[in-house]
Amino acid sequence: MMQQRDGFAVLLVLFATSAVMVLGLACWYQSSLAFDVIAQRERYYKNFYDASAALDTGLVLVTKNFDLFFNQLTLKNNSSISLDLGPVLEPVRLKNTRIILNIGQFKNKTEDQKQPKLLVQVRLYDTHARTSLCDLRCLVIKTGVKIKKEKREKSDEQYLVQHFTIGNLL
Amino acid sequence: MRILLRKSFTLIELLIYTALTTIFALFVFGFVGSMRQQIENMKNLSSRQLTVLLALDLIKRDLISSDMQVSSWDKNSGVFVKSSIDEKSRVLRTCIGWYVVKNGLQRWEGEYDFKERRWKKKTTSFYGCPITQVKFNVYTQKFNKKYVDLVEISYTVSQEKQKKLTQETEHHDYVRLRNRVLV
Repeated sequence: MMQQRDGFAVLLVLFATSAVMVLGLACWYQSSLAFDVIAQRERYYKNFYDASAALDTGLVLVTKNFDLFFNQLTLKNNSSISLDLGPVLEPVRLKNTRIILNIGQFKNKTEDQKQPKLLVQVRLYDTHARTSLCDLRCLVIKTGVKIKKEKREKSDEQYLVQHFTIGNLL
Repeated sequence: MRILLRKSFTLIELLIYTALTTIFALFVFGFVGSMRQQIENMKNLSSRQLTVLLALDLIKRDLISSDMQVSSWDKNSGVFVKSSIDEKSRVLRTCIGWYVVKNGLQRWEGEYDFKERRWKKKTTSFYGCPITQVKFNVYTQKFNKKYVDLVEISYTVSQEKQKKLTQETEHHDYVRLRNRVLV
């Protein structure tokens, strides 16, 4: 009876040691990644391209509803409109992240105010660590120029994307 | 007979232990295998290649947010305007230039006179890498020639053989500007 108990204890010790060893290795692996340049670079580009895809989606949304957003912000004197792009970008979204699109007024007095402008910002936010992973901003300008494309009856409005800025990026 | 049976494992016990050990071994081998793959990937990039890659990352990061107006580019010297905007709608304009110096690259940032083609004010930073030549070729849009669409980075890297710099290889990389025209 004693020998049987000893055998079980040995197995238990082996199992516990192996579990601790695996945990230790996993910790070492994660900490070594934090100091590795290539891993950091991969993380940087992952965040950047996710945010970039979100910004492109945001730009399509803004250019299609430019007047609506512009009038809403000007009439009600709102500083910005925030939208959660998470459900739209579900396939590219990383775990524990939120993608927020902010559409705001452009309030710079030194710049030319003749053309209507909107400030578009995309923020990739880590909900677990509560930090901003990537922040991309740009200015969308309605030029007033209409371009007629082939095979289309309606002519399309031309917009300029300017001052593309990469904000804080982890 | 009973005493002998008690001393050894029963068939069911043995089966359970074998199954547990197999699952555990699979888990450990899976983890070690994925780690080995990561290490292999890292080894493939030598430190020399890595410094070139990181230097190009820095150049691309500047080019990606460069101004799309052709007038904001000095095609011969490779100087361009980079403008950024903050959350309070403040616009910051700065001129950027990348130059090859001994043992690396120098990034010049400041005010540049595009008519006289000279720097008025600048701050420099150095990045050590084996790039020996760098040049930007600017491509404009098909329909509107006043806007830059694509930038080609042509660069040469010195190769090291038995601790001696021997041949140079030319590479090309392309960057599409994020400041663009949307229709």
